Amino acid sequence: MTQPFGIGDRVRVRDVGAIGHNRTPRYVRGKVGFIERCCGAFPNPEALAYGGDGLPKKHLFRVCFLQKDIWPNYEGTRRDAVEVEIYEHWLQGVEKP
Amino acid sequence: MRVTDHHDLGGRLAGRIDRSERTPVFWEKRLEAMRDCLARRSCPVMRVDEMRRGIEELEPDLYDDLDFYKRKTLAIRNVLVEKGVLGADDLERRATELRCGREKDLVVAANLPDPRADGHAHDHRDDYRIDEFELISEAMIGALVDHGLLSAEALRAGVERAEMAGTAVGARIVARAWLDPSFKGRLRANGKTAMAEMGIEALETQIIVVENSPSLHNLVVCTLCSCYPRSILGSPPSWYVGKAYRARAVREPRAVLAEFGTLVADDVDVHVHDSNADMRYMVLPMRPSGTADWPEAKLIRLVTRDSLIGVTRARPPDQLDGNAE
Repeated sequence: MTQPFGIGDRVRVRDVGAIGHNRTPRYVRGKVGFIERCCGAFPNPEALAYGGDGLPKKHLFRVCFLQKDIWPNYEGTRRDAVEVEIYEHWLQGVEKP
Repeated sequence: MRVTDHHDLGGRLAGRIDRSERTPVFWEKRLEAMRDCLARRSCPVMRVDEMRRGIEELEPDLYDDLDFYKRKTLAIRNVLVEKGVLGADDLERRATELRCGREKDLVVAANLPDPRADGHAHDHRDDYRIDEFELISEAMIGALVDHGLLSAEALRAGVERAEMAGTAVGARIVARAWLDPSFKGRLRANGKTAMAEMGIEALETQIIVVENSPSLHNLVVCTLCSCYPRSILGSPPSWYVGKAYRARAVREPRAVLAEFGTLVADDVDVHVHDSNADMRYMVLPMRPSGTADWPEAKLIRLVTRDSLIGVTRARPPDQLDGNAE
């Protein structure tokens, strides 16, 4: 399976009103970070949660976000970060500025 | 029933973290082992994703009022009944039988003399107190065993296995990494296979080991539920699965660290790892200074549970318990 993103790629988390179980926390939706690593491909938890087999597998990526880009008035340093696992169908590529 | 966002706590307002600790009691350990057994069958009876969905479908008031294990009990029951695996009436009947048995024990116990009059420290009559959620869990276990969906032996083995996990396992891994840079490299590249070299079998999909350094401090949380590398580190502390930690660790990690007595300077970056999907995490704390010639067995004693989560650093040498070397 080819991976849709490579390490270092800038990505935005889709901000869709999801229905049902998912593993994409609201605090990163609409936010931009970069791919820290590809964790592998796994059955989709959104389907597993309802008795499906979750196939075809989806790639899971660790995305690194700068905290200052997530929270207004973040009280920490400008390089503090939060790293979150996001499934590929929640991510879209973003051009470098 | 439908999933709400009520469980999605990252960044919500929350107060001080309640650091009082409560170890799981026996029925809660059986519940966890039951859940694990159901997921591990070649044709899973209930996947962990289904249970999570069940928790997320609980009414917000129930989610707020019930503690971690009670929420799980209710969610598992709802999912198993919804799937037609177990019958609601059958569960009710079994719980009633169990309750009657407990009530008889309570009557007998109430008529016993108070053992504390003889200097006994603990009043064992408390052991017969009835917990309704324990009855639901034990009713489910009984039904699953009777239907051939759960083996009593596998359940027992699961409880035993969980009891063997704990801080000591993580401490051994950390001490080995401190002493052996090439092992540390392998650990950071692939946590599971490196741990397997030590005979430690992690059951999770992968354990990502994040290393603290003079310029980086790592912190682990699961904002959505309670994901934790249980197969190696055991049950997470009560505060880890509590709402305040889950809400605040991603939003204000430095303030959370300060509540645990850990001050991080401005020239040190803080990275928070939200264990929100299939990966699990363990922090590799920095090796305390003044330990250059220490043997592995002594280094192990510096590694604490909280340093493996990242809320504290490893113990400095002068804080080691004053026991024989």
